[in-house]
This record gives sequence, structure tokens and C-alpha cells, in this order.
Amino acid sequence: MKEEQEIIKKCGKGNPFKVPEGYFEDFTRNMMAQLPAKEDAKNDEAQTEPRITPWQRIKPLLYMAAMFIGMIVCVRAVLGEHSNNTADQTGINFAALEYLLNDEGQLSDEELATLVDYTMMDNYTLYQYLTEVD
Amino acid sequence: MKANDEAALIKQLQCPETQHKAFEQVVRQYSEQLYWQIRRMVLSHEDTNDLLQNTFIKAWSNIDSFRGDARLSTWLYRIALNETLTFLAHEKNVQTLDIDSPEGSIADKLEGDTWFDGDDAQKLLQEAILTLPDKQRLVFNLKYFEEMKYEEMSKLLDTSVGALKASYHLAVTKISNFLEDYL
Repeated sequence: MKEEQEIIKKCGKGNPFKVPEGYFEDFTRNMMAQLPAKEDAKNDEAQTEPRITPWQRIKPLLYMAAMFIGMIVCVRAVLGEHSNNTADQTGINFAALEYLLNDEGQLSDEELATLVDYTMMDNYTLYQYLTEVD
Repeated sequence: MKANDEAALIKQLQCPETQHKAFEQVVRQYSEQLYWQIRRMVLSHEDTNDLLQNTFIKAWSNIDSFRGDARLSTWLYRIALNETLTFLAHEKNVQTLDIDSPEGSIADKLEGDTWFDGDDAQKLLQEAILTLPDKQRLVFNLKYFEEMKYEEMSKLLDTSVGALKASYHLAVTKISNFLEDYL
């Protein structure tokens, strides 16, 4: 590679770094003095190693099961409430409508329009109720 | 180290009775090679000394898990390189956070460093090398200074020969452009 040859020509491949005298000779001795004893390390590991009981094994599974059951209960509670509310709303809508019709005998167009808007019934649902058509 | 000698040494390393003595031989055999690998990346003698010690401590701690699948030198080199790259990444984060220090503090380590003995051209080359990303710098150092073969580098760095060749080629181009402005 031409560029590489240019770099070698300009800068060479020599090592510009140096080390303190005797560094490598002393390094091995210093290094071995720092190493922890293998037997001590192994003994420490054996002593600190915990024994896992059957209860500890199944505990996480029980926690997960409890969590899922809790989630299901909450979801059912929320959905059940919502369903009940919807039924109540429907009941009130028709009860109010029946009251008005029975009491007054008739509703003005404006009153009827307001009631329909309030109850949010579509035209077909209203027609069904008034005509008792299936 | 010859293959037979290495095989015998690995066997001694795996035996508790001979492990300590065998590891001493490993330290004596490989410390200088590993030192220069690290030094070319971090530049400072003190940092290199720390990283070299960390390398051997890690190797000692994991010696029982070394099965001899790779060469002993490759295994040690990988530990050393991981230590070095982790150190450099940490240094970069520290530099980013330190708003008072001027940019390029790794390059500044060369200035006035007692253990740097190069001339101006060599200092400029080191500065040029420092402009490379760490892994590319590593590839450049291994090829340019160590003259390591791509196949050996591939095993060491777990990267394809093609990728290494491309990386080196790019590194040479960048350094060449850098030096053109000054030399």
C-alpha cells in the first residue's frame, strides 16, 4: 500500500515508548505477590453459596399466580361495573321516556328531540321502542 | 510458545497442585507482549501497569474456566484488550464530563511524559493514530507495529479478515491525510 509506505518513510516503525529500568524483571514477582490464594477463594465461595430450599423455588411461581389472579379480579370488577352502568343508563332512559309519555300523553317535537339527544338513542332504537317492533 | 509447550503449560494450569507455579510462568512469558499492546492504546506507563495487573488478576480468577479451546496467548490478549477498551471508554466519559480540561487529554499525556522517547515525527504519528476510533486504532497498531497477520488478528478480535483489511486501509488513509498537513 503506497500510503502505508509513505507513513513508514516519514515516521518509521520504531517504539517511541520506554519503561522504567527493571520493570519487566520485577513485574512477575510483584504480580504473583498480589494474586489471591486460590484455595481461600474457593473456600469463601463454598461457604457463601446458599442452599436453595423447595419453598424458595416455588415462591416466585406463587407470586406470579397471585399477581395474575389479582389482575383478573380487577379487570372483571371494572368491566362488571361498566356493564351495570350501561344497563342502568338504558333502564333510566326508557323509564324517563315512559314516564313522560304516560304522564303527558304526548311529547312535543322539541321535547322529544331534546330527550332523544339526551338519551343518545338512534332513530331506529326509538322507533323500535315506540312501535314495539322487534 | 511452541504448541507442545503450551499444551503442557495448560495442563499444569488445570491441576491445583501445579497451577500457581504454571501461572507464574504465564506471567513471565506474556507480560511484556501484553504490556506493549496496552501501552500503544493508552500511552501512559502508569495506566498500562494498572491495566496489565488487572488483566492477570482476571486471568487468574478465571483460570479454572479456561479449557484450552483457544490459544493461551489469544485468551490473554482478549482479556487485555477488553480491559483496555473499557478503560478508554471510561476515560472518554470522564473527559466529556470535565468541562475544565482541554480537549484531547490522552494526546496531552505524551507532552512531557517521562516515558515517551520519540521524536517529533513519532509524536505526530501517535497523535494521528489517536484520531482513529478505538477499535480501528487497535487494528492499526496490531498491523503496523506488531505486523500481525490478518488471520491471527481475526481470531483475536473475532472479526472477519475482510473487515480488518478494510479497517486498516481506512486507518492508513486517515493517518496519511493527517500527516500531510504537518510533514
